[in-house]
Amino acid sequence: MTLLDQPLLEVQGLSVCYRTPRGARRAVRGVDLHVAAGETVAVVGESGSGKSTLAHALIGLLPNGGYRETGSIRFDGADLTALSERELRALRGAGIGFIPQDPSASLNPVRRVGHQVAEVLRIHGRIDRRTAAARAVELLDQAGVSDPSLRAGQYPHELSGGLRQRVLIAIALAAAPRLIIADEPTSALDVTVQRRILDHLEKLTHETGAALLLITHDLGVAADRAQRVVVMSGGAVVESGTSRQVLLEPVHSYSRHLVASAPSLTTRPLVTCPSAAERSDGESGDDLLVADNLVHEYPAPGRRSGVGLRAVDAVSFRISRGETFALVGESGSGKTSIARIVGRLLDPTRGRVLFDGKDITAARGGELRALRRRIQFVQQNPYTSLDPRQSVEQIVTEPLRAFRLGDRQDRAARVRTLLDQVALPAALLRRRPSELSGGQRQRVAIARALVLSPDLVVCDEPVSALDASVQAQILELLVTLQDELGVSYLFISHDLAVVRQIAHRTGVLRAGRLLEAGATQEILTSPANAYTKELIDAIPGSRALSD
Amino acid sequence: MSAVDTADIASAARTRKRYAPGLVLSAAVLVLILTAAIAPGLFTRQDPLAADPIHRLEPPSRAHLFGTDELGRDLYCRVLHGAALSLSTAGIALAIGLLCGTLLGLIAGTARGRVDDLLMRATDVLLAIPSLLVSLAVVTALGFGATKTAVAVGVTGIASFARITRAEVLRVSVAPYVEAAHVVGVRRPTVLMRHVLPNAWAPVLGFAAVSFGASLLAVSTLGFLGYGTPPPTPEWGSLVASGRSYFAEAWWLSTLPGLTIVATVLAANRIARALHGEDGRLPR
Repeated sequence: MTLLDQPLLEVQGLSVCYRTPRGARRAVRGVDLHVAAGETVAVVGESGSGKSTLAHALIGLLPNGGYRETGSIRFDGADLTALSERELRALRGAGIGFIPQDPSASLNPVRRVGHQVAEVLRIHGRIDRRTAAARAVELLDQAGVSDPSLRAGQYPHELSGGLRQRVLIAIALAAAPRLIIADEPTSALDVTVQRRILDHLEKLTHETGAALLLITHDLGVAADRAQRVVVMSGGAVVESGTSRQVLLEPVHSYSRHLVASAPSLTTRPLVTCPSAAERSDGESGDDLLVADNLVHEYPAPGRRSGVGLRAVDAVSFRISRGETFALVGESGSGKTSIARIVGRLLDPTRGRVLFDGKDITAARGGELRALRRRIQFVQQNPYTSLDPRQSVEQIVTEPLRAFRLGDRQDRAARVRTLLDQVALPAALLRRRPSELSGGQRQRVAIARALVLSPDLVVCDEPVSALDASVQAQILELLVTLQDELGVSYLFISHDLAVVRQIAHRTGVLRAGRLLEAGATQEILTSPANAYTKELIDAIPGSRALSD
Repeated sequence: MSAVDTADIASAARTRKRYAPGLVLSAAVLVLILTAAIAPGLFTRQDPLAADPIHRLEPPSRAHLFGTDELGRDLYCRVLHGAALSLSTAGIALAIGLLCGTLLGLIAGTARGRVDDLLMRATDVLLAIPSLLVSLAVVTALGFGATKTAVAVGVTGIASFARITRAEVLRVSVAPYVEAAHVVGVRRPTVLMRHVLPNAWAPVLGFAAVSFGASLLAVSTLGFLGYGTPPPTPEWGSLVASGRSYFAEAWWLSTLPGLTIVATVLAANRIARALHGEDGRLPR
């Protein structure tokens, strides 16, 4: 029992700094953390909370300019801070495995994946060259890679994101480490893939008895997978406890805020769904937008004629005035293509788009410009959707200038009203996008989309680049604006948890086909399609809430 | 935080604030030469064209800092008076390359398709021929003179500027904020002028700054070969050339104007690098 008394990993008062031109910046402040053998602990925090820096500091792999200021790190009784680089190298992989964040950037693109798994075994002198190859295939198999002997001979670019992440897991587990540090292992993956990977990781750690330190921004994932949760904010630990404690009775105001804004944990929708009866009366008369049998095919690469990839396959839906219709799907489901067709940025191969009763599928020139006043677009990434050289005022005024609406004073007044509506202080008018936070930028993008008082706003993943608490604010803002202005939204998202909060009606897309569509509540409670069911089950946090 | 770390960081920050001595020297050289170009009378009261056969081929002295030439003209005075012509010719050449290149690059990057192919193949051809050869061909066709030299040198710069501008325009025009501008109904030409060009220009201007030295060198080369302003008007390239025949007896005649050219080009390049961002950052 003495082994259990002493934790496998014990961190005390750890502070990490980065050198910057303006002096040292502390990224981790006095963090205490311990992980027992076989335990799963999650570190949760938003971007900039220092969670990734903490993970890298533990294995002595801080990026350039980063250094440990104070504190001790003890692993299995040994003081890691006293080890030489050589001793640390021997420990990494063999004692502590690391699963990096981005599967597409973390594998060597010019080496076969089997070789990369075998490399770990050979470095730690476990095995000779010949048996290493065979063992690598076994490890890939264990990590849940199908056809492992085939995959071992492939290069990273030939694998999907989920498979690459499995390869990274195989590498991390190759030398049977006693602790695995996973830095956002699934945040770049689709939800259903995320679920399968996490399930598998859980099974593997259970089988091998390894402890898992899971770094994540998603409180739902943390609550689902970990026995204990540590919440970080501004580089410091603000709360730690069992996942149930943190989830149900958060003590610190920040964790309470985090729990309240995690989309996967709140089931409270921001909009009320119209009942089926309400919907059936004003059938077609109230339709703002009708998409009829949309097909979009990308031409086959290298060939002039012939059918290439069918990104959108006979999709039909309608959006009423003042309604939010959401399209949910994973990557490659065609959701962005549909958004771009509706926003007239892409021509469909077949099918029609009716807007306010008029066929706009082939709108050009003056007709298209007139349409731009009524259909607006909010893009996914607020960090790239605003011209870095313009001020907030110029950005929001631009649509008014483009249509020569009002004089200088009218425009200034209109911009002020809008900034007020999107809850931005007027002091930001002269700022440039680089001086704003992600949430503020997305508010500016929303203000730009609304300045012409459009009837329909197409939102292409408007919150997926933002932190959970900012996500919640932007969603609330969208709903408030809808109540005030009666605008309709076509809301594109990969996240059913977000859609659950904001959409009146929802359509589920997979491989370009619309599997089902209906009132959001109905889709969520009684999904007709097996894939929809899988999507709902994959929402992180559902497991933690159900028991 | 330990005391050592604090001191380290503080001193590192201070070094970064202080200007490199090379940069200060370069700035001083360039300011001096620019002043000479604008108002040569500030540095010398002599007439660059006044011959004084008694004092011909005198070595550098207090009275004649750079010595005198074969007709007894003061070389220092001639170099100073030549600055205006040499620098302005280089400047005009650069402007021609920059303006035409940017315009062509903008057209190629926006029009795409056939126009793009045509323009880019044309720049390929231009880039395939050594630039001195192109300059010589153009200046032979046009005739002698400062403006013609400028055109000849400017033409060789068009290809590189067009290339860079096109690449930048392609990069910027797929940026989400450009798409956003289209979506809110801004017309194409306005999008081009308001969003694409300002965001594409920083690297182009950076390259222009670096090109100034090369341009000056090319202008001087043509002057040296005798394609520039005909004598007796002083011009740096032709000053070096005319001193050649007396090199054995009067080393200063070619060497000192040559060193002036070298100093100016080096200073211009050093400053361009600083403007371009020493650590690879672009100026904002």
